[in-house]
Amino acid sequence: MKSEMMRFGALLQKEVWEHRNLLWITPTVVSLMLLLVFLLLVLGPLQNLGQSALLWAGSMLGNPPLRSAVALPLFAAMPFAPAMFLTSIIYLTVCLYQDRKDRSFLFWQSMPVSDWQAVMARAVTAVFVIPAVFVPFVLVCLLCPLLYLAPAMADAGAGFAAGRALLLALDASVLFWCFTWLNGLLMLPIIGWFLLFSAYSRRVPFLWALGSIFVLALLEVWLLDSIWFVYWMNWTTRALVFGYSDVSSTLFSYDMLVALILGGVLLAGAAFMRRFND
Amino acid sequence: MENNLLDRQTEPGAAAGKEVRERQRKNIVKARGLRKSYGKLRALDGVELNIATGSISGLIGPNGAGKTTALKALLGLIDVQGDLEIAGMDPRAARHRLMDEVCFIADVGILPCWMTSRQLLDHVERVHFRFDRRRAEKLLSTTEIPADKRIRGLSKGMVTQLHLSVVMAIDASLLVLDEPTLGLDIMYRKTFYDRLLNDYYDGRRTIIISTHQVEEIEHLLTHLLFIDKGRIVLDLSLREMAELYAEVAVDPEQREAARRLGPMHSRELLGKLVCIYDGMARQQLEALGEVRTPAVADLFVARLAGEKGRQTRGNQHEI
Repeated sequence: MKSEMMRFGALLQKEVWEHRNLLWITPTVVSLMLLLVFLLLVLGPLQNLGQSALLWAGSMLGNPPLRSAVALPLFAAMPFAPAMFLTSIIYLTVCLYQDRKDRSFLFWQSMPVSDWQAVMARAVTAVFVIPAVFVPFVLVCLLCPLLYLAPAMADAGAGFAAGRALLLALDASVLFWCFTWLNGLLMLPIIGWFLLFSAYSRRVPFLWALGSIFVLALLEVWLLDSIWFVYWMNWTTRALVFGYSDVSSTLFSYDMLVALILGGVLLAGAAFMRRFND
Repeated sequence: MENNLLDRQTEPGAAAGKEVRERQRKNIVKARGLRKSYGKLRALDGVELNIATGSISGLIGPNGAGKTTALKALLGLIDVQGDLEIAGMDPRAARHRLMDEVCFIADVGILPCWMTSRQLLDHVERVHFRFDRRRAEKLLSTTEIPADKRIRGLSKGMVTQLHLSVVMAIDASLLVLDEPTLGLDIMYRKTFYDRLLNDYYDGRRTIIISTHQVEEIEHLLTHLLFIDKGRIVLDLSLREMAELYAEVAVDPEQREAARRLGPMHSRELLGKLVCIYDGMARQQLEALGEVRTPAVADLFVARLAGEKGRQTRGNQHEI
């Protein structure tokens, strides 16, 4: 059991090595952009806009304007969710396809790793590892503005609020990770779908995976006169940005059960395709 | 060299003799009626194979004969019909478990170019529990492969050396090599086979090699397998080959007599008639000229020419 865990750990590490550019560059770019925007709002020519944004953020949270200083960085962390979604989709599209494209497929097949383990390592990377890579970046983007604002807040007699804001930033980072892997589980059918086409396609796997989603949606409208599929996709991806009100009720929901079953079937399909797509 | 190899395989010493003889009675590869088609093309047409533990077998055939398909079938990389057992396992049902026992280097299979050789060793060490990292590092220390350079920056010869070092550090029972030296210059090809023989083969392990460069592996082999049109057309040991087949450089005055004996193949070489005979007594042939054991490449050509001749005659009969 321990040795199998070690083997699976090595597979996850291999994914991080292989896709290091994709996994590190995206959050780095988003972080730098957010920090640049913050500097422009606080120090640069957009100071007035920054003040307005603080007041708006404070009113959204129902707090006094001074304490609303904590709100802006929290809102600022939101772009990480769609950026991470995009990173995951690109990763899922290329991860199995890449082995065949760079002709290393037979080398990987010469290792005592089953196709099921190979596919599961990719799914676990998308659900847990990619969010874990993003979390430190989110935390940095939350802490930098707060650390900058903390002395000013303390001078204005809001030292307690500043301390609370720092704790809130840590809390928000953990919540970000929880929401993202929870969302990853809910999106397991999408993960399975992209892995299936990554294992199947001889070229342009992204077009195959995305095109087939459009075709399915059109077929549903045409044959069943319903938009359940479109509704489901919209609901799943909205949750990615706005999170959930209750983590435990989402985890033990009917939607989660359906997602796990459907996702499991599609992951098994991806393993089958990897095995027999010669 | 050939004798040394046969000795390594058959005369391992008194202490281990019984064990080795027992193992030799076992076949690590057993295949019955393997069939595989790609559309209308029949890549494997009832392949029958028995490969003894501890042998070095050469799988030899022309382009499109079914060599790679046969090897892929043995490794569980494609689905085939028929009975198949490798090291006591069915590769179709347990490919990943089989890979604990079997290593392979494929002609088109190259190492992941984004890795460094150090990362490659790290990964294989954690994934393959029969991998001996110290042995791999020792083997690599005799090469000029840098540990932290990406594989995409290494020459083809270095990549092959790296792959061979990794494979040789795995304590596997069966090694399958499919055109392992394709595209390498003669220095690397020679080094590759020398290392395989000196540092890897110990009489316990079984090696199957498929290649077009028959002359380079001839001295390594203990067994020959000729494949053509998806069927095994010859399966014998080098000893049996020496007993069964003879090549005669016929004296000019014996040309007619040589033809009357019905050689399986004949050709003109430097003004001399050279004939290959199947199952003829050596004493009888010695009267015709100089007798020797044919080279594997010559036997291969003779055998395939014979197969074609039989097929042509068969077709003419059908017409």
